[in-house]
Amino acid sequence: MAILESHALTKTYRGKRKKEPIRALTDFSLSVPEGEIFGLLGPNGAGKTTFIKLLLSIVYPSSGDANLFGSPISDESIKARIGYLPENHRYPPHLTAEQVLNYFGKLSGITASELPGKIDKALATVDMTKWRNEKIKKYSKGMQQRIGLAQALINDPDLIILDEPTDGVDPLGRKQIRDLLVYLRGQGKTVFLNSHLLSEVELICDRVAILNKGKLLKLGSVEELTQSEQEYAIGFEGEISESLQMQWDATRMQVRLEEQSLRIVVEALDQLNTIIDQLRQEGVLITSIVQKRSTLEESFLKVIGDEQE
Amino acid sequence: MKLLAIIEDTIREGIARKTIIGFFILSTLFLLIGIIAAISIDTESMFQAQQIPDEQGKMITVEMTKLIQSGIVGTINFFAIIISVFATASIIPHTVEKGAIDLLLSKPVSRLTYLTGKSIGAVLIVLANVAYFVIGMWLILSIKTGSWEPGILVSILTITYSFAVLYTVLLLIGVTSGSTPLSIITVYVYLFLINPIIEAREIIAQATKNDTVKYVLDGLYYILPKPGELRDIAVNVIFSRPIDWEPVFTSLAFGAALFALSAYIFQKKDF
Repeated sequence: MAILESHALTKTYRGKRKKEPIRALTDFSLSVPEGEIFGLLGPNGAGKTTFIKLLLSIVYPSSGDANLFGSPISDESIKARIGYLPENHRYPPHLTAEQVLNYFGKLSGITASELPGKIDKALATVDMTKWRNEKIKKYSKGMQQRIGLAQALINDPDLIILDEPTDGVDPLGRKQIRDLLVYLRGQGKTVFLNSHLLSEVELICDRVAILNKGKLLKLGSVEELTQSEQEYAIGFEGEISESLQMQWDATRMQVRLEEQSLRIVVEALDQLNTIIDQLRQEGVLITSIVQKRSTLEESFLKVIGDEQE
Repeated sequence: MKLLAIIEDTIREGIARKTIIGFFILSTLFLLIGIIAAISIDTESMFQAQQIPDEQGKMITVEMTKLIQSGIVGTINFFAIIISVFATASIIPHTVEKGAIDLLLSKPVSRLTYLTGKSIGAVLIVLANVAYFVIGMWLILSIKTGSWEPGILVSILTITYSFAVLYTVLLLIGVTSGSTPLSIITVYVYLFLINPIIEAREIIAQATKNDTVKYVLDGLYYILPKPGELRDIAVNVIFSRPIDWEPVFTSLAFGAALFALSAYIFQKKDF
């Protein structure tokens, strides 16, 4: 079942002071199933935050529509099932962590009798129990981020939307947040993540969408996005003759011989098959054929680069 | 529960804000001055020196009490509103700040509930401060004179009511611009410039002998809030005079219209 669906969602902001209108999102269609960690990637100004704001009715769509849990986003009650951590959030500085959770817990519709238990659990989850009675204004950025996360989890949401959740958090804290998100997925929760940190997204996301200038450029699993279609590593046992190597050189095929491994870049799959045939004819034992993967960052930069060209 | 949480948070924010504490300290300071004045002025000796009989002395005391009460109402009405506006003007701009509003709107609470809760919270802050000062003054005066005239207590309601109506201006400017200084300036321009002109509309109309000016000023008089005439209601109660309720209703209409407009803009706005 799709937890989140958008159909041709478009948002145009009116230009201020006679400036041109800004198209922040264009015909954005997406479907996120239950129990997935989904990452939305894009450079600054790509429309990632606008999409989240549209889902939460913080801004209104210019055209298109979206559903959460099968209900239109205009339905206020669905927000009771959502936890949200905005980017650059600002909690009332005069409140303590406990008071923040108490306030936002009440706004989420948690009853007074349930609140103390949920506050304890949320604080323990983000490892902030020790600082529960300290005022927010005394917190470091990382601590504020943790409290933000606790706030997003206070209502035990089915969908958790996080905008740059590891912003300002140290490496250890980041690891804890990643582990938490994976744990939440294990609990059947759906996580929707906006992040600049591609290495993190690569580590935990099931699927990823790349957005630029308000348009969806690519959508797929992390594996699909990081697959390099043309580069392979062929593991082998045996000797490759010099004549065969010269034959490859003559055809200008990109073949690099490493120790018991051939790195080849092909234009089409039949070239790969030709090389395999040639190796087999020489009696070379092929032990593995692995398609080379690029990192998510490399794929991301390539997609964005292609778009800009 | 959600509305109460918003009201509670607004009050908590008000307490955390130094301006509200300043308001409270100022009230306490004036109450202390009142206590010192009450201790130092010996009315009984004054009456004895003037050889005023007891009965007549009591009557004079009652009238004097009423006169002092009306003087207090006249003075604090203006200052309480000015300070209250200053102390609460930032509530809405802080609410609509980037990073704060996103969080609030992500919760299953309607935008109207936020606006209502914030407004009630602001009015309750002012009500508490005004009640503290007025009740304090009333107690000092009553204990001193022995005349427990309750008229002054009505000013708690009239001042809070005047503030509540003017708060809708803060609400509208806060929602549209998100600017605290602009909110304060708008209300102060009304209080210091527009309201005195409207109060003196008959004199101005006579002086200019221009019908258009008269109609415009009369029109504004009926549309805009009337803190001065709301103050007069409390004075009339003190002196047991008849009360003109019209300012209550026209101010209410103004406040309701501005609140509805603010709610509409807040509902439609992208944050």
